[in-house]
Amino acid sequence: MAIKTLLNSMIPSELLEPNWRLLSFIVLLISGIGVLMLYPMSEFHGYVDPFYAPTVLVVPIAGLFRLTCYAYRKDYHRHVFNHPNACGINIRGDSMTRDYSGETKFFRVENLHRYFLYAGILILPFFYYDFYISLIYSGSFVLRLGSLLLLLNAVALTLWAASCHALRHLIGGRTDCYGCAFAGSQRKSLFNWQSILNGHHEFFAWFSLLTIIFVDLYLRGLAAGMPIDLNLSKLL
Amino acid sequence: MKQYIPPKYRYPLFFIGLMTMIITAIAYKFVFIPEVIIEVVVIVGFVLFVSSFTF
Repeated sequence: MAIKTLLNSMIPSELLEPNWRLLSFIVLLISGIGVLMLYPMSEFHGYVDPFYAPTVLVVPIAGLFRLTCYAYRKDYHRHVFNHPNACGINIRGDSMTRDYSGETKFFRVENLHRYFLYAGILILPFFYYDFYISLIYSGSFVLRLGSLLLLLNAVALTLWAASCHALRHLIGGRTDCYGCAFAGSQRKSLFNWQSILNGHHEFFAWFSLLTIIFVDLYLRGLAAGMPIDLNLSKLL
Repeated sequence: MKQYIPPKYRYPLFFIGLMTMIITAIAYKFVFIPEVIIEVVVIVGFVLFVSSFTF
C-alpha cells in the first residue's frame, strides 16, 4: 500500500494511461538510442559529431534541456499525452475525463529547465571549437562543406539557447522596475532584443534538433564513403 | 497547402517509417542480409517517415 501511495505521488497519470502514442514513442527512443550505441561515431577527418561535442557524456544534459524546453513541452503534452488538448474539440476522445496535472509529480523536473540551460550554455563553446578544429584539421586552413554544416549547427543551437524562456526570465523577467534596478535601461534593451528571439523559440528548437541529426547523418555518410564533402577553398 | 494524408495516419506513418529504419539497422548488424535489400528497406522507411509530415 505504501509503495502504491509512493508511486501515485511520483508518477503522473499521463505516464500510466494505455496511451499507444506514448508507448510507441518510448519504443522509438529506446531503439533509436540502441542503434546509436551499436554504430558509434565520434569523429571523422576532423569533424566531431555533434553528439560527441565535447563528449557523449553530456548528451543526458542536452537531452534534459530539450525534454524540459517550453517548446517541446507544448508539443509533447498536446500531441503525445493529448493533455491538455490544443482545442476545445476532443479529437481523439480519450482525455475529457482527466484533470490537467501540469508540473506535478515527475513533471516537476520541468521546473529545472533553467539549470539545464546554464549547463547547456557551458557546452555551447565546444561546438564552435569543433568548427575551428575542422578548419585547421589538415595542418592549413581548409574550408569544407562539413565545416559550414558544423557552424550552422552551432549557430542554430546558440539561437535556441539564446531564445530560451528561462534566459528571458534571467535577463529581465524577474524585475518589476527597470528604473530601480542596476543597469536597468541596458537590461530592458537586452530584454526587448531577447523577446524578439523568444518569439521564434519553437522554430529554433526544432531547427536545431534537425541540424544535429542532419550533421550526424552527413558525417556518417562521409564515413560510409559518399563523395559529398566539397572543398570550398578550391572553389573560392 | 493541401494535405493529402489524413491527420490520423500521420503518426502511424512516422512511427512505422522510423521503426523500419531502426529495425533494418539492427538486422544489418546481427543478421546476414544482402546490402541491396538493406538499402531498399531503409529507403522505403525513409520515404514513409518523410511523407508522414510532408504530404
